[in-house]
Amino acid sequence: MKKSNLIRNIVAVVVAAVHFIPFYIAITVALKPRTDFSSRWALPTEVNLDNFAYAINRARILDAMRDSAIITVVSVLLVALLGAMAAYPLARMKNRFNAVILKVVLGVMMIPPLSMLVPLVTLMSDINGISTYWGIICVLVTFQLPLSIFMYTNFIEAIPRELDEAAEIDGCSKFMIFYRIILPLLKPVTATVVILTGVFIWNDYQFSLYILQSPRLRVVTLAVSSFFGQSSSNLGAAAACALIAVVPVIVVYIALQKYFVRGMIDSAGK
Amino acid sequence: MVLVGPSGCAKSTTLRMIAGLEEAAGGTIEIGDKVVNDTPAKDRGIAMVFQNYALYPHMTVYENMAFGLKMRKFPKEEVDARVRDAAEKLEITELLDRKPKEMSGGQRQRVALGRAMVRQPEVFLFDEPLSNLDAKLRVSMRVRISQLHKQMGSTMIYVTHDQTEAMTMGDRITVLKDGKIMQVDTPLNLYNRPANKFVAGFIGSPMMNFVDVTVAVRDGAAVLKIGDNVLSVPERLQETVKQYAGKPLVLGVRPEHIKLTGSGGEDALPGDILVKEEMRNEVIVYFDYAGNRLTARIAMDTEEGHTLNDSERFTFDMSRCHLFDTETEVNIAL
Repeated sequence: MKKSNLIRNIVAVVVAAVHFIPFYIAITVALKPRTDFSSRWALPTEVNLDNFAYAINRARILDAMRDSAIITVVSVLLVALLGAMAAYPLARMKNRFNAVILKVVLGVMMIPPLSMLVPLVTLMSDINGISTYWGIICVLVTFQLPLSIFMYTNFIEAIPRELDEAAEIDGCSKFMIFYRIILPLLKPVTATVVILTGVFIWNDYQFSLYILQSPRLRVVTLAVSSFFGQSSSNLGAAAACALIAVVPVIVVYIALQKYFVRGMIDSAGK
Repeated sequence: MVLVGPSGCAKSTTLRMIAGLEEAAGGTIEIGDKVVNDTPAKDRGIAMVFQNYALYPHMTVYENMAFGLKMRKFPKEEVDARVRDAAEKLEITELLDRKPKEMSGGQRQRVALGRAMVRQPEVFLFDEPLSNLDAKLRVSMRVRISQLHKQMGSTMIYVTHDQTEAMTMGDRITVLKDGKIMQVDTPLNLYNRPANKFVAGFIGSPMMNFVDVTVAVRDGAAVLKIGDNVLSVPERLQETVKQYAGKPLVLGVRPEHIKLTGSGGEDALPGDILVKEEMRNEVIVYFDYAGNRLTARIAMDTEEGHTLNDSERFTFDMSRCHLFDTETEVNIAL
């Protein structure tokens, strides 16, 4: 084996291990009863599903997953649709105004969201958006749109302009060109946007913690965090919760992964 | 009509203005007897074939060809009939269910042609449609487009930077340079009667030779002096050339109008041969004469062992030569 291949393989194993170890520990912890004080690294001697039952029945993780799913699906749809529609003119109409808009979009991506948290919560409170689906969706969509616009813009720029022109001669209006010609070609980048923003929104904790203040609307991250208290923690139930919560993300990723890499490369842009 | 010229001469821009994809800053664009400056592209009765084919990647060949008709709300049966008819003519019927990525460049180009044909437009616009194809395919597509032109009888405007395409396909050719029309004429007239030095140099391969000469009058007749050599001026040009007595002109000679000579007369130009390209029945000779790099196309049966020395004497067929004004570059020999 060549030296460069060996180094590459070692790095790959280390990276894979770094990602797999927390997952492994979550599994071992979730499958052990609270009374099992063996090492977290050790596999359980018998499969115990009490933690999962506790997560489902007491922590209402399935309700939290439903809330998370509604917020994620609606937010991702809006991010993808609005992102693509905003990106099309930015990619196709090159003028000074659009160049400024694109720079502003990129600039917004650099702002740390936490720095805006206090005014944001105040604003949401003023417009009665606290503890509502639309309130948290508005906030999450706003913060995810710049990345989506950036990725769609780069991707559309790589689509030959002649396709638009051919469609224009064929009788399409600007909207029809977008809808009939461009939109169907955005599948790979849409898969990437769906995965990146979907995972971010599903895992969001910081905005949910402040915007979703009522217990009747609770997302998975808040459900998991409920097992950590000042005096004690139920690690087994928290791990079981986390494992249940991660299933939809893995399913979506596997379903879209063939587009994901292409979308990442193509939207890497010029 | 073929629009030809070097890169950046505005031939594609002109075509795009006709198509309605670009706005004309001034003047009028007429299709038939209708001014179409303010008519959108879809209503101009044109169809365009693009250099990179511009087929919709997510649609099959059938859908690509039918798209324009569907957008115009043609009845389904007519759409189907037109698509199948065009596919048959272009021999792409078996490709109708394929997507563009599953086809070769030549097949894609035929589909692009088919997409234009089904529209039955008043004007076909071609924007360098063959430049992405290999040499062999280019020749066969050239023939196909010419046949299509004969069959359909529609006006075709064809943009290319390839003069062979222009000369073989055009009924008329417009030569452009820096956004200006240099000459509009038939292919033969462009070759034999170029209006200026640019057209003379652009049309023809190998290109026309240009030599700086000075006009002199000897024994009442105008002659052209190059170094120690003197070239006679044809009778028909005597009066015109005399007006340039003492002034410089540019002499233009096509490679096939340069011949070998055994004579030592003052019109025999000694040339040092730099490179010879031997073909079956001719030799392209690149030679140096008094600092001028010239090209001659000498008819010669190389298989019979005829060969050239390192230095030879050449004469110009002055009856076929062109003379260009050094300032205006206009051909004064027309």
